[in-house]
Amino acid sequence: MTPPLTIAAARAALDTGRICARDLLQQSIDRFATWESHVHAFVTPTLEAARHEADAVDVDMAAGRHRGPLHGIPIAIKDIIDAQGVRTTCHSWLRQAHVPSQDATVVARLKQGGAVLLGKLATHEFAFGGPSFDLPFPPARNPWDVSRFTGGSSSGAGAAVAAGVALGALGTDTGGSIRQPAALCGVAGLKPTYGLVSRAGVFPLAWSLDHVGPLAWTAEDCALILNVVAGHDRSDATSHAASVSDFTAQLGRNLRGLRLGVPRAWFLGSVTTEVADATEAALRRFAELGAQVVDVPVAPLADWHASLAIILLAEAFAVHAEDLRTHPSTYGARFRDRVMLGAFLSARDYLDAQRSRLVLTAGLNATLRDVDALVFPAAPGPATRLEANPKWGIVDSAFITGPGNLAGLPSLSVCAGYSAEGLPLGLQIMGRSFDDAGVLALGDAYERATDWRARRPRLALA
Amino acid sequence: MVDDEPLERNRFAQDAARLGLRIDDEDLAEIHAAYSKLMLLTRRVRGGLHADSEPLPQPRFEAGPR
Repeated sequence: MTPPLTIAAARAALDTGRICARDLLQQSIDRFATWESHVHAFVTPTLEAARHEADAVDVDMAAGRHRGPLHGIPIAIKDIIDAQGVRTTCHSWLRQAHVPSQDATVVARLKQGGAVLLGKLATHEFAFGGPSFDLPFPPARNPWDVSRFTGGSSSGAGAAVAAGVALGALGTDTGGSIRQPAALCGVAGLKPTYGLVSRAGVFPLAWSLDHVGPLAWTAEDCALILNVVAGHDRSDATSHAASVSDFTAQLGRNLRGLRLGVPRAWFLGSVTTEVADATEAALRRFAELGAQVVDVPVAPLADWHASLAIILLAEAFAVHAEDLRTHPSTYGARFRDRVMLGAFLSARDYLDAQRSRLVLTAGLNATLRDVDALVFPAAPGPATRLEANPKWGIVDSAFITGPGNLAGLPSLSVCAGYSAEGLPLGLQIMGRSFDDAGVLALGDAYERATDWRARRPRLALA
Repeated sequence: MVDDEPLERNRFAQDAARLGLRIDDEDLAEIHAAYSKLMLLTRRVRGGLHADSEPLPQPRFEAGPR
């Protein structure tokens, strides 16, 4: 018995007794043994604790106690998210000794749901600025080609899920940090609607842009994770108070009659030919599934990015100001040099960026009243070589994932095929506020209508 | 044509020191170049706004329904 590799398949196997939680975990541990020394996805694996958790799941299930879709499922967590008793390093020398005394709300919910926690995953330092080689842990590497970048900053999450070590992971996304690694590692990753998933117990990068969300092999698996972690949390003041829906409810829906908008101004001429071709092929596939595909006007991506860069740098500097002043050399150079720029922004700069954000968001929401979702690339190309990732992207290039963070809209990346070199390409689906279920249903429909999910990375070493 | 880059970099380094930040000499040119690009972004944002017609940002920290 090997196959699970997805949460849905593992759930079915566990529920029908074809596998027990301990054996499912052993599959993850075996893959960890194969992959980890090559991809460096984990900074703190907790495999011994996971064995105890899996044994407890088997006792529960034998007694007929079922705790939901993640009961017995191996899940890993980005290392800016607190888990009681396990260090949260934020991949930084500054936080080597930080051991939280309580769980982040999302981790508490995973535990209540019976997930088996594999450990803490690599990130860029404080979720911004990598890949770096002057930190206490190496940067994660892409399982499709270990000389390549994973995308970031949920870099370990992308790598661990692509390698099949974790069946799901929790990441965070401030400017694309779930969707970019999802795209470059060929997995699904959802940045949920702002306020849907609690951020209590998660180290901030930029408060007004930060989101917590799932990465998994499929959109369906992301929906299963979201069903466990989403929902109001009094300890996060930005948490939305409304009750949450079943995020799997729309999976399998008929797409006939749906209108999908294509914001070509965001990617025309700025993505590789392979990404452009993959996007066009995906749009044709949606049309074949019955959706109406129409071009929509959008504000230039450069306008979005100007606001994003200013807000992100100003808020990140506010978080790190004291440490940057008192012991700057404890940070890695990439993080320090980038975040330091936030010190030079004025209150007027920040407020103008927030005002611009409101104008841009209002325009985007108006567009989304005319269409059900937007479909466009999740990354401009496949993964670059690890060393080739530019240091100053935050001021040099517009992130195609940025509008989702500024507008707080649900945005999903799914695999849209592969480059000639066999590297994954990403497709982004953005929906209306709190239509996370609809976005996931579109991603699921696309995945089922293509055979991209049949391909898995193989460990090939130079 | 006068090259005022060194002068601007020097002023930038003084600003950094005033803000309590330390920038090593060998990093100054690179960080100043990134700063210059960030300032262009602030001008891009400002150029797209009209002082009286756009709303001020609203706080987003209420836990109630929107």
